[in-house]
Amino acid sequence: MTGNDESIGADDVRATSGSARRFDEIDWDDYEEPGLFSVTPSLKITLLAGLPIVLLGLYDEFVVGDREATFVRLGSDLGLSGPFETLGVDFDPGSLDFLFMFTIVLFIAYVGYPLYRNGRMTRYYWREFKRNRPAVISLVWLGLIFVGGVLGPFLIAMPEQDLAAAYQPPVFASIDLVHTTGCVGEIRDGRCYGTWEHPLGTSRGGQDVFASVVHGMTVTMQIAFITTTIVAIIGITFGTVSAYLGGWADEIMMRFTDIVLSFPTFVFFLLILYIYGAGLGMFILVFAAFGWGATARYVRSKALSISEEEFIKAIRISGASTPTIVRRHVIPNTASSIITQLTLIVPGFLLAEAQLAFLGIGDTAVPTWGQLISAGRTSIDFAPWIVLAPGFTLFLTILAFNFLGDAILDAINPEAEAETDR
Amino acid sequence: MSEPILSVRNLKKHYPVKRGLFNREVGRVRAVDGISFDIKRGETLGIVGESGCGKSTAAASIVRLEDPTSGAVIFRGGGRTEESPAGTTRPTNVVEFGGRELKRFRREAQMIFQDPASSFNPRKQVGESVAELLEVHGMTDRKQRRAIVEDLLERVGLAASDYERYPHEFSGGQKQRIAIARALVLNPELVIADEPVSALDVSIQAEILSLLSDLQEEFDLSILFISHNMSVVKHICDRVAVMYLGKIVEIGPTERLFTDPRHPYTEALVSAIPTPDPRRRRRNITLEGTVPSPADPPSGCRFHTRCHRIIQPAGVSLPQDGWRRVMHFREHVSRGAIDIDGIKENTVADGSEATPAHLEAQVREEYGLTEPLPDERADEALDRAMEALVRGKTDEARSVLEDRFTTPCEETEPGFTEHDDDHRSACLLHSEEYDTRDVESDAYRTGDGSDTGGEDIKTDTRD
Amino acid sequence: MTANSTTDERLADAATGEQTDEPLLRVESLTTEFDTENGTLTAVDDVSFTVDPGETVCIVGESGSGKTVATESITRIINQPPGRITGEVWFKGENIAACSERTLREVRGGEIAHVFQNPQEAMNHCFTVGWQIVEAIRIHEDVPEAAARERAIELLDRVGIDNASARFDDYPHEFSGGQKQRVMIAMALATSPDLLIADEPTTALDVTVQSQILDLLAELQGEFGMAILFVTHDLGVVAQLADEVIVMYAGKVMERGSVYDIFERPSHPYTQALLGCLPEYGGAGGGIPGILPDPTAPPPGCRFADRCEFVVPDCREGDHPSELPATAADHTVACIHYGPEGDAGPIRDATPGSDRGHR
Repeated sequence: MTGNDESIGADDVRATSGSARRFDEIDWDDYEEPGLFSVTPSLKITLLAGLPIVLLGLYDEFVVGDREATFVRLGSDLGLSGPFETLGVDFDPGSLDFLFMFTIVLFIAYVGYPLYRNGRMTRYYWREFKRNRPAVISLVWLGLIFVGGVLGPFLIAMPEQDLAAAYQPPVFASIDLVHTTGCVGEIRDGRCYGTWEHPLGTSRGGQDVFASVVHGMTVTMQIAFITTTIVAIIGITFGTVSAYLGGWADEIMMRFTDIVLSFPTFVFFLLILYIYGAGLGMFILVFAAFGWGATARYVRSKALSISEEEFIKAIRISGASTPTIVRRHVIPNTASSIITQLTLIVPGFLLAEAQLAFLGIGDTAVPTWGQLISAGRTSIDFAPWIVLAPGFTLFLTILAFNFLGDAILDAINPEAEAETDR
Repeated sequence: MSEPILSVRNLKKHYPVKRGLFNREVGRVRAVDGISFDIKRGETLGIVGESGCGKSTAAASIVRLEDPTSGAVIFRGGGRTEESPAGTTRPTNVVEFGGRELKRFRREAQMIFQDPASSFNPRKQVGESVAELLEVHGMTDRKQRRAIVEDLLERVGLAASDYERYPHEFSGGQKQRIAIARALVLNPELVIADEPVSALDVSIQAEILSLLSDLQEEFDLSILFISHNMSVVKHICDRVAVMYLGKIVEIGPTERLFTDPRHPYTEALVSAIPTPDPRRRRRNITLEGTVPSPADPPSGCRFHTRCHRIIQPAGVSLPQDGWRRVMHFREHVSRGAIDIDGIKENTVADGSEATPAHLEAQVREEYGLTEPLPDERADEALDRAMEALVRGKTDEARSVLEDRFTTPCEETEPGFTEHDDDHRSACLLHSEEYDTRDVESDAYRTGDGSDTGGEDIKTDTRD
Repeated sequence: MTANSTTDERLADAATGEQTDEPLLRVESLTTEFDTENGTLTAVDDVSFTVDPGETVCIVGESGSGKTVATESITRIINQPPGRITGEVWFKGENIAACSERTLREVRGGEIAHVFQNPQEAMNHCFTVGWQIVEAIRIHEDVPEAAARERAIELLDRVGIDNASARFDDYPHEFSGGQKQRVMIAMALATSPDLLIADEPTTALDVTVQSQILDLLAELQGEFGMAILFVTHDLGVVAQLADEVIVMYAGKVMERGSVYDIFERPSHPYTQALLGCLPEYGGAGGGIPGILPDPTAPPPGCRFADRCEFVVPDCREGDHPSELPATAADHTVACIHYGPEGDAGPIRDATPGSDRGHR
């Protein structure tokens, strides 16, 4: 997960001249102690791409008024209203959107870039991963959800109420005219037939189900990415620090983890909800803040077992500092289990969100799948698509995360591979 | 130049055994318990011993992978008077090194590990794993790092292009070559090799060993070679130290140690090496049992519980193997290891009550004490102890046995005896008190069980 | 010491049971393949050998030689699939390769017993060792528990477990590694097998314990009259124990003969190279350069050709060379240099240790 230094081609090496080429010709007195911090490429990416997002987020938070659209205000502040308008840049992202973008940057920097950098290893993982068909399909499915979630809101407008088009059936389906207020498509034998205008039909309020599902993807991906990031950061930090400090510190940290694990998050969330109201952001924050216990425990035990490996002894004896060892060797080697662990807790969050929404205590401002299911439950007997469309999407997404987790564990488990290869 | 590059003095590494709510220390595992030796420049010193003797812990303590409990590890002697930045004399004792000095020491002492399968980060190109050491020590020029590592890979018999390959793409022997490259890349003076060939096939072992000795010659390395394999040690080491339960029992030039082992343990180890010669199927010295726990090492000479030359107290004269069996029995009684009730339950097949005579016969058979001992007084003591034991009076049996059969070996901790140049062993048989004493038949060496014809143990110190 | 009626009976059994010319075990063109993701891996390739009653046969080879798979194929304790075993295994006049799983179960652990490298894994840690031995006896023989128990204690005592009657009730974790291996041997002997297959039983043990176990095996063999098929990579152990030696490499038999033939007149370049790796035979000559051929796609001709110093173009053609007589009738070597057109002279001259004369 962490980046390594850039590798360079053999040609570059040949081209260098001068200084010692042989290990026993090096005069170590010429070399300075390296600084404590080194800027890794992953950190560079994070800073370069993440900083503007953070700044924009702060700008949105403190400068832009509640009723203004962020980019419209930004355009006028920068004197670029004209170009912004012609390009149609009038988005109004919320703080959750900024956080989402930032986590995507983190993923690119700490997962995507290292995979790209170690191309050969990545291809090797891919070959292993490909053997698992369901996992490949799952990956494609999650890819669709991701693309839909990121681009969807730009292409498909937020579903709007249209009472004249309530309970429109999906394409190739029909509904008794009794239930509808009007029919957009063809009417035959007293039944209203679906049209491509509403491919998955509409809800009671006439909102397009397809649009709702697409917008629900955004929420799903936001939950997945943001919770994963928060859980990973807290869990990995807590786990490795605990493992490496040992003794009393370890004891205290792990007992704290036990508390976190046994904390009644749901009840706590209800409490928060009655005091502060139920925003999606609050949901993510609360559930992520109490969801890292298992990850921390997992990381700790993994880190302990990895630090017994001889390559850790070898790097310790090279004189590298403990933080360096943890960052460069321990965490990347716990990655396979961390990723698996994370892909398996994401479904939990998604389900929790859906459950809350279904109970009617979710964030009504965001069109989540749970909301839709909840909205459709009263009309399930004559308009089942309102429940089925988001329900199936949710079901398949959760299934996909589970498949993916297993497949990743199998694919990037070099220990098992090394045995069979030789 | 005669000054040793590394002197280890009375090095100890104890692991506390903690129990209970407050992690109270209830005991100590004495993994390494006071070892001393020197390694000269360009020399290979072997440390041999069975698993659990503390040899790997010793290595880890020397390079400070583990912090030693006490003792000194003097690197490059007391003659080093380089000024440290603070203006004080740089300490030469590795045990006292602070962060900066330790890091500097890392450049001069490196290690090769046993298991090629786990000695590389599976997610890193092996070249990077080696180059990382250069980076840690401040070489920021990536191209230079790569050039050095590629050159080194070629020197250890691999190709420069192997830089980019991953550990799983190499065989065990190849990985061990890379491990050697990694140990050498900082140009150290001392390399500690902890069982470097134990996980390899014999044909690969020979390759790695010859590579190691070539490199040693080329770069004037000193090597501390840790192994359980006596025949490997015999052929690569200049001197050998034999460890048993955290202590060195004998140390000396390889040739002398193998041809004329002066400690009974070394003798047993040497005799146990299977010789690849079908015409010399010799009788080995059989050591009883296994290595005792280092958490509770035997008193006196730690080897006395298994020794085949254990000394008899004044007034007892038994044949050595009979004596050994008695001592073995005594040790089990003292430990409370003989469970009379268990024997009662298991020996009687038909459900009837086992008679004491029956039990005694069973115990005697299991400890090989069926025949009366040739020494009357000893035999009488044994009889009394047996009787007490089968009647459930374990304490009485213990005191009777301890009264009669207490060996000097468990009372006195032997010091080192110099035999000749650089050859020392720690066995009471060589101390003045016992060296004139007749010891009963050397049954194991002659191969017959006869109990007569006492042959003197060679104790003279040759000049 | 513990010589008693049962032991005598066993000796008598061994004496009367196999007085024919038929060997105790005759393995004919045994081939074991595994289906892997990278293709079919041939671990054992057309291997034949025999074991006579009371004899010790050692299969020696490095990792990847197929020695373990070969012995595990005899009683088919290899999982099928992915494994696939073909060939004939004649044990006491019966082809056990063709018999049912049920019959085989009776042979396995009964007349043919196994001792494995790692006693840790071969024991059930939930039961006392005594119980496990009693169980082993009672699976194969219909004896009352008390009698089985008595025999179990006797066996434990015989394999050198101190205080056997009390330790009968101990659990495996209460024994040290060497003692566990002794218990495993006791368990293997429980059914008085005619053949004991010992797969690297001493590799995981310390050298002093190893010699204890080897001595024990030799003693027990004399006492129980069983044959031992011993698998090892350690030539020192082979020299101490073997009557007959089979040298395997990459799934093929390279050379076979009496222990004296192999150690004093090694004829295959591989055997010579292997002996040459031993410090006692001139030592660090640099090992055997090169690596094992790919078991999923072995090269044509001799498997050892790539690492052989006597290689000629013919070595890389056709099948692996068939076994040809070397120095004695029962000393064969799979090397074309010993064929009608070959010249084995240079190989013979290169025998390691020959310059030292025989000790």
